[in-house]
Amino acid sequence: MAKYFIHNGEHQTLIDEMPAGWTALAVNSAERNVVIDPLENVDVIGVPSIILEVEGYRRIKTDEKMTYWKCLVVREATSWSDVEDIITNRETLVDEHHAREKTELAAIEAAM
Amino acid sequence: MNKNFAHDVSATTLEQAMLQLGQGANTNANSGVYKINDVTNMTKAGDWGIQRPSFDRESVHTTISGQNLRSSSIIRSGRMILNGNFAGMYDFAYIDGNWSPHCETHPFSKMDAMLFSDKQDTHWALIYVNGDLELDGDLIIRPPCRKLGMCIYVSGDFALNGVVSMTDKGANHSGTGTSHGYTPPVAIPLNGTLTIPAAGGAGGARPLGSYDTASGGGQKNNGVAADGSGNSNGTYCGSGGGGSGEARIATDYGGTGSYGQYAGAGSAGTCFTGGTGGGGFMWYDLGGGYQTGGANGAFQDSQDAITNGGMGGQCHVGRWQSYANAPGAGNPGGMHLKGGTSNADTTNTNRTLLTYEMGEQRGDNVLNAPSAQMRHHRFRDGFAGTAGTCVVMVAGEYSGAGMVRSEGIHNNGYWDGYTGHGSSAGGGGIAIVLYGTDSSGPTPRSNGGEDDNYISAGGEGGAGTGLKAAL
Repeated sequence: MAKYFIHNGEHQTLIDEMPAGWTALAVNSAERNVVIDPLENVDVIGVPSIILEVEGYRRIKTDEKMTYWKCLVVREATSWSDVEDIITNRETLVDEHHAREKTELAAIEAAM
Repeated sequence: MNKNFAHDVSATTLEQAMLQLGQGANTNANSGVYKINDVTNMTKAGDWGIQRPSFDRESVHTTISGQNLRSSSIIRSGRMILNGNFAGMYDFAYIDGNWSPHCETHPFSKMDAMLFSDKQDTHWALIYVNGDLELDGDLIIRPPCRKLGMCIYVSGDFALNGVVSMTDKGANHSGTGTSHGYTPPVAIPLNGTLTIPAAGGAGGARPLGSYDTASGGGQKNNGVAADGSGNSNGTYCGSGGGGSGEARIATDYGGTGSYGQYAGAGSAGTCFTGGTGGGGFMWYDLGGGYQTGGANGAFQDSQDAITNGGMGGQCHVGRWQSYANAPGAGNPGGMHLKGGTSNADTTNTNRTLLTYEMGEQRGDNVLNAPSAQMRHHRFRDGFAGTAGTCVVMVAGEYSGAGMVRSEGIHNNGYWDGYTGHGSSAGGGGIAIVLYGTDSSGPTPRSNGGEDDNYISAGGEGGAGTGLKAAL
């Protein structure tokens, strides 16, 4: 699965620590357009950021998941472990958010 | 009126326009805007008609004992023609000599008064420093109102340790709503090499939301980012597009499969502003208010963002099943429309506008959400503002640890009830620094508006252009 790190030339530390499987792209380069434009419904939001496929829930009422492309801005990251933490934290928060939505929707339906 | 004040400028590039305006500007004795009392006082003091070495004008006489008058340094205003195209009106502020403003001596209100006019949407803010500029770490140069753009020309070196920003100050140049006037977008040639295109990245298209495309992806469309150097879409050096609203149907009551409803589209960025966001919704069910695809009409139109930096897309809150709706970012942010006659009323008939002014207190809330789960009732202005256009030209050395930025508004993601469904973000702006020599000066930032990375909300704004290059 392709994964991209978008930078503006001021994030060499992160590029140096970037694990295998990731590709660094300068935000103002022609190559960025060539690589990112074909991806479905995702574009660069800003820098530094990562573009990768993530999972989300298809519906509130079920736990069926779906995969889609996402750009995550990682401006707080000073090392690649910070980037990995942002990815992991997002997954946790998505699960928490889904659980909360399910609970709230169930409460509404119970009150109907 | 001072004969030197009205002054049209015509040049091939923005750089040449700045040089024309700056050339000889310090020879204009007393040019500027004065009250008659200022002229009287200065004449009495023997200061009128005297060649002034600097236009910071802090020694201007005032009627307040012991205090200097805070005066504008704006000495010229007129039309700006770039490469034969009308690029908008401008106000030109001139600082003669080296300038090192610090927070102790130049509070924000003073900076605003010195550098900017109150002409909103229709004017550029052009600032010429005839010398070195050293911006203190606590200071921000940012217009107090929306501008077509801001250009700072420094004839010497620029040590940037503060902030130069056009975040939230992009123009509503649509001539609609709260706009102070229409200015058609045109290409802005900067220096003979780089040109800001008239149109930036596209806005996110209207998404069709249905139970079958509920969460994750598929029911919102992100704004398109400005191009890289290949200029593959013709938007290199441009701004980013705004995101669409989110269209979300929570349950399968009332229709599944191809049945759904559209949220509003985002608008494209322009040379004067990042794109604006579309209005979005989250409905409990379709309840008969559905479309089967390709639908247009007033209901959908009202959710779309207004182009050219106009109002964000509106959201409809007429149904109790309609909860967690949110408008799009723009100038102003989108508003709520309330009161359809039935769930199937998607024609705007009998709908009225719920303005932000009504959204001040809990009692104003007519969103029909269950009270324990209602959204924040005081989020007026939360979606207002777009990223603008900021160009800094440094003839000498560019250095410092500050920042130049013009960034889009983020999606709202409230946790005090249903989370930020629907709201859409603005596109990133344009922040470009052109230098004589670069001594690791900060690279400008032009991020589009984000969601919260985990909350399902409206489309995100495409990145604009954050770039530094040789002048």
